[in-house]
Amino acid sequence: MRQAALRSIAIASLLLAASAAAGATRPRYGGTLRVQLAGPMPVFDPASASSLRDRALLPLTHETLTRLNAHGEAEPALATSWQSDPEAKRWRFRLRPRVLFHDGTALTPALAAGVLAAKLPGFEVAAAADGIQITAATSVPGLPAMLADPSLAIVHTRAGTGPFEVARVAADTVVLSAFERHWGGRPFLDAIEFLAPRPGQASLAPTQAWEIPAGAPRRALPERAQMRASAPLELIAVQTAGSLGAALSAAIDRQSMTAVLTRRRAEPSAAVLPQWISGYSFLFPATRDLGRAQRLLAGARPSPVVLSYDPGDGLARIIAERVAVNAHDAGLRIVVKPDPTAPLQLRRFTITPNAAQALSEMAALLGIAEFRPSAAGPEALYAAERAILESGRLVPLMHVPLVFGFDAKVQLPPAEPLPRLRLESAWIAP
Amino acid sequence: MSYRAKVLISISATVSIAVWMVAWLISAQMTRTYEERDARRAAGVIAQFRREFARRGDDVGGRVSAIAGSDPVARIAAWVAQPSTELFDDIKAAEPLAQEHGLDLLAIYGPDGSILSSAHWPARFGYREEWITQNPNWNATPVFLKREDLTDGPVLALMAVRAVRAGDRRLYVAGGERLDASFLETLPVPEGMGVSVHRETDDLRAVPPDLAALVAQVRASGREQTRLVRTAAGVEVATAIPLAGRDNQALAVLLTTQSRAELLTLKRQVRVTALAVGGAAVILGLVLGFWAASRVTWPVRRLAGSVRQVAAGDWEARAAVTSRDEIGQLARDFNAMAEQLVEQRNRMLQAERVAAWREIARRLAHELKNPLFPLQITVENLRRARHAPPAEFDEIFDESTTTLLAELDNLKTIVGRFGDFARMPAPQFETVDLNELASESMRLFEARSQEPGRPAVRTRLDLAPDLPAVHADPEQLRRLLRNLALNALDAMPQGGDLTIRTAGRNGRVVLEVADTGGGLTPEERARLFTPYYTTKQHGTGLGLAIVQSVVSDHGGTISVDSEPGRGTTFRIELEGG
Repeated sequence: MRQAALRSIAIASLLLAASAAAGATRPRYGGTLRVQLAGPMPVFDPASASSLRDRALLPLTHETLTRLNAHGEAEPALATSWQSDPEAKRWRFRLRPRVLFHDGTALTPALAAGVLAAKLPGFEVAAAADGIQITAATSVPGLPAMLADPSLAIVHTRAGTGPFEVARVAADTVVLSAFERHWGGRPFLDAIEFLAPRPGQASLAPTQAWEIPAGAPRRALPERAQMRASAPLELIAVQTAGSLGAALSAAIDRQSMTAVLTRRRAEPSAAVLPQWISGYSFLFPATRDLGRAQRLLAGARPSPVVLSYDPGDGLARIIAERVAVNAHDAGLRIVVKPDPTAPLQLRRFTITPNAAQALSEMAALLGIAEFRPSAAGPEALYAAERAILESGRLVPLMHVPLVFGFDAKVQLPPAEPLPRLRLESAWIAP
Repeated sequence: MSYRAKVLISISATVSIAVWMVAWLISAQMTRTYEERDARRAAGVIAQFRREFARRGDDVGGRVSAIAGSDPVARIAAWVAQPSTELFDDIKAAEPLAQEHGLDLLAIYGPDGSILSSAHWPARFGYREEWITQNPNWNATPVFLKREDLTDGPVLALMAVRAVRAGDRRLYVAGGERLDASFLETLPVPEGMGVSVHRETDDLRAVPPDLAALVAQVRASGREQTRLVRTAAGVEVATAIPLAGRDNQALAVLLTTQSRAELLTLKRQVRVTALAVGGAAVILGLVLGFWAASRVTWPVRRLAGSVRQVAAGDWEARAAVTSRDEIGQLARDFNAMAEQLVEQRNRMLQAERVAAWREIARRLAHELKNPLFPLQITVENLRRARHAPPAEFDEIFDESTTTLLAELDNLKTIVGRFGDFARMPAPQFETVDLNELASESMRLFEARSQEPGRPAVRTRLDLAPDLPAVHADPEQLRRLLRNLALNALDAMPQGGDLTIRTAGRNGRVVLEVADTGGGLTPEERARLFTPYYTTKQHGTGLGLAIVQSVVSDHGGTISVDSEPGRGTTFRIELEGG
């Protein structure tokens, strides 16, 4: 009897606990998520968003026909499906029905075709009955992935179709409010408030999320913070005039650089494209080969070379100094100082998630022979990237993700290495 | 060089040497004084540097000890104590500690000597420095000098290391303070003195070459050195001491420089003063020396003048005695000597005169004795013939009178020669063609030389065609030529060649009369023109004396060139007309 009572009490307790747990995981509408930024205020404009963070946040307000999953593959967004002819020259995208812009305008094939026609020179974009048709002169097998680029978001008089709309823009605050008529339903949060950096702020208590620079020390984070990182889509590399690239690449200890300076948030890499996009970046070894560097530098000029960096970028400075330390071991003296005319420039490059497009953009940026995205087979991509690296004009160091920390009360979707932050699915537990 | 010049030079040299000796001694004393002063000042600054070094070292050691005992280091030690494969990633940990404790350099090392965090070079995290693990007792090790590489180049620093326990391991805290210009500014450096530190890595090309060489030598030798160097500021005395690190290697050189401009100015003033004083002394010495030398040399020069007068034949010249010193005594002795010389000369002249008269008497007696004997015989024959028959008497009388007349002529000739020599008349100058006179004379002697019974003498005239005329007495020149020609004929009793030669030479006229006779010995040549000296049996010894007299009256010269067996040549030179 006593044992049965105790058993009943235990079962009741378990049921109560289970019901309480179920209540905690049930999404809750409402609340404002305050996000403390570590850099400049975000720009919610497809034409201007260029940084990794802006491109990751832009899908909150502006959507594209497709978006990339954790494997870099295109999945439906404003387009529900697509198909092409066998040569991948003519593509037809079916538009999602009942999509409204923030200004109340309905998304139509004509409107979408007009936006993309302006943003895709060299392509023929035409409206169809339930979608749009895009025709290229050459084969473009990766066109759906290309269309996931935030710069190709569909806009109507600056209004997007995303789950949030821009409610207020001030010097130190940008407020996004929930778009009630979003085609996917209203987001849980009422608003997201982005706050400008506040130097000297002692406590992060008033905020529920904060941007974490790659170089931030662990001790700066609350003990119970949960981390969400985007896919590593920012490349930190040394752009050179070409003569020192190979030696410098061999001299650099990328492993300790990422382990210490970015607390392993960044991935050491000697490739342009991150592994998650190309799948072959391991073929470009990122390990240090000091002997090779010394051999390559034998007989090189003894005079110091200037390595410049963005003076407003604290991580860039320490990375540049580390590069100088490593190069010194190989016999190359590097002076680190901001100098736009320096032969070595430490720069951050935002990588377009589409491999062919990313390599094409990088080749154009470095002034290397144009790479045609249409020839984007794996071998062609590898050859194109190898050509970029063998030019010596770029010494990749690491791929850096966008990292945000969230208070434990903020409920987030499962972590996935996506090029965007899925804050539309977040909610705040009471 | 005159005695006065010697006196003046001696005085000048003596004064100059004395003045320069004094100047040199003063300069040497000044140099020694300045060297001692510079050495004291350099030693003072170096001692002060060492005291400051020790004081700063204690201070740095205290601050590093404080950091080693701080909470942040304790947290790092706790992390180190935990077994982990992660790299320590708080590379900024040292920076606030360095700022809080006012250290220029601060690094925290892990148990294996790898840098966990470096305030002065954050990017060097992970690099191992083995030296830090090699000292088991850092906490008892005093502060030391160390070269530390920074991003902008190496620096020299006072470093202290403290070990911190991290479980059963240790981490190390190394902190320091730069040894730079600000460190040196705290030293009380005397005015005019420079202090600098030259690191082993410093480029010495900007340093004056002398100083650079000194620094390099001290670096290499590790020993203190002092020397004079030349810099842009002039000559300086530089003292360099090595600043050694933990392993006694000279990491830097402390250099003190002190200008020698003041000493050089003083030495220059001494030299100028010595030059001025020496110059004035030399001038004064010259004046005094000139006066003194004149006082001494004036009577000597007067005495020398008197000597020259006597030597020139002024036997009456005497030196004035103006003092009672050595010079006066010398004048008196000279005068006495001159008196004796005059007396001896007069006695000699008297003796020569007597000897001349004796020679004349001997010659006259000899010349007159020869004709007198035939006269005496002839007169005695006449006295004896008085008693002979008249015819025989007449014959004897005629012979005797003829002989008497001949001998009387002979006597007249002898007397005439002596008379001619005694009565050499003054020359009557006119323009004379010497070639014509020579030809005329040669014609006379050609006839005589060709007389029967006479030795065969060949005559030859060698006359210059453009011989200038001479201003002379033609009669005396004829006599001269006749005497020389007769002399030549007498010298060739076996016959020979008689040559008369004329020539013009530099406006003068040369007349030569040469024979091929037996020649003359040197003794004969020496006495050739002495009156009454002859080598012939019947000569009067007046012929060549007359020749020399004629030549002398015409302002000419006569010389003889003769050797025994090779003939004799008389050469007469006269001024051309």
